[in-house]
Amino acid sequence: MTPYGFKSFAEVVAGLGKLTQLETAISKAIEQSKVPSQETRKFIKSQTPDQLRNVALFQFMKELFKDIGLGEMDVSRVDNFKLYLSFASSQVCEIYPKQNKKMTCYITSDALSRFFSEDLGLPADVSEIECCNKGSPTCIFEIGLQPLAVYQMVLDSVDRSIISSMIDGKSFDESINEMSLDKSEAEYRHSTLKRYHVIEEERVTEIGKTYHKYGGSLFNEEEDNFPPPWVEYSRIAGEIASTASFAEAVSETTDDSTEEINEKEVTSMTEEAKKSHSFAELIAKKVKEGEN
Amino acid sequence: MKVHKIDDVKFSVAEGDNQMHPLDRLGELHIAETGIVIREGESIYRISFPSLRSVEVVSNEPLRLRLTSKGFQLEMEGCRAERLWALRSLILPIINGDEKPKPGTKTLLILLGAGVKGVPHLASIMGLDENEVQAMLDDFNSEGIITDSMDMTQQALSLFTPSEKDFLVKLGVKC
Repeated sequence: MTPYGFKSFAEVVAGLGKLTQLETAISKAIEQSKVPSQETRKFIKSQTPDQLRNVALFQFMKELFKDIGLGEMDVSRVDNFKLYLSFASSQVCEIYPKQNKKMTCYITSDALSRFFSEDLGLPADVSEIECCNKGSPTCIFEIGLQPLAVYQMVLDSVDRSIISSMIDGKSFDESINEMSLDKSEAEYRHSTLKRYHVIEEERVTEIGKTYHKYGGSLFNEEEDNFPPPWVEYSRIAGEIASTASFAEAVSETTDDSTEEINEKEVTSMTEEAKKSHSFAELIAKKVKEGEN
Repeated sequence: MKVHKIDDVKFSVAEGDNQMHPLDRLGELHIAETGIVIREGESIYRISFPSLRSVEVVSNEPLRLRLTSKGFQLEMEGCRAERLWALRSLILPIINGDEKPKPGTKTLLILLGAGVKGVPHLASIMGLDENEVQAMLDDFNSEGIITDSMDMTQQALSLFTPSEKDFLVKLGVKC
């Protein structure tokens, strides 16, 4: 059986070659795209898709993922700890035959997860929830962000002082008076703490207390001070393009790594595993042979 | 049978759910029309696509994949990580996805590990209603993922990657 409706062995190899090119571009892009936390903070503080579209980091991601070949990115929904990103015209969908009506874009899920975790410092659980190969107009990915990591990014030392003071028994107003915050800043901080469920009904919630307990010990709290990657985007885009071309060239020159083997010489590991004892013996024999 | 070489790999095989040995065997990883093939000297092994249950990333640096099939597991590392990532991306749609936990499972477990156990708070943080969170907790309990006092079991810990376990250790969870 040819996997996933690929028509021939050549199509399987071509699909693997295209995926290798995309993976090469993804690895290069992620390696070059570390984002300073002040930029990530603006990104995750956005409350609506329109706000998010205007953030520099979002525009950078849009360009980056397009240049990799993952398609035209947009945002469809924003929650406190969840984002829904869509991708149209993705090269990934074209790799797989259409007839199977399955989700196919695991490479995009992995790329998003690695980008959020390695470049933004936000561990993320990414799942494709709609796919063009399953009949949807775009592929949509749900990005679940780890709440404690979001707190670490969104809340600053003033917020932490307010939480600490409230845990010590003071009200929100008493806490901000102690810190001499003006009214507009106090309102802003109150709305942020409420939005993220750190305070409810003028008390620090269970999650607020948990955040206070662990404070900066969970993630690197140091403010990083380096330019954002979009400052030199043309260089990054150039490197992605040349890496992908190199991968394509390597893929073409390795066409001769296809060979024919005699099926009679092949051991099916699955069949051997069904005969549990003989499989154990097979492995033991191979290990012994290796030792000899 | 036609095969196409993907990479040179270090690998190891374990029966069933037995613990994996260090990757002490050397071979060549190939793709064939119906599965993957590993050549180890004169020996040639095939794992058919339909027999695969999952292709998990065990670690990122270096990239190590674990292929789980009926009756055995195979772990491997290659020379070029992108080739193994590509193989994973090719295989996952064929086998209907990876066996990763349902969305929200890890987030909920991490919050429990951090000591947040009140259902209303868990629900508000996760953007779910309280009944959904309670249903997830009931499922975790019946599946043996959490104890009656909502602590994570060893089975829960097996869902996390090594870097996620490092994070859990910081929360005071014994891993």
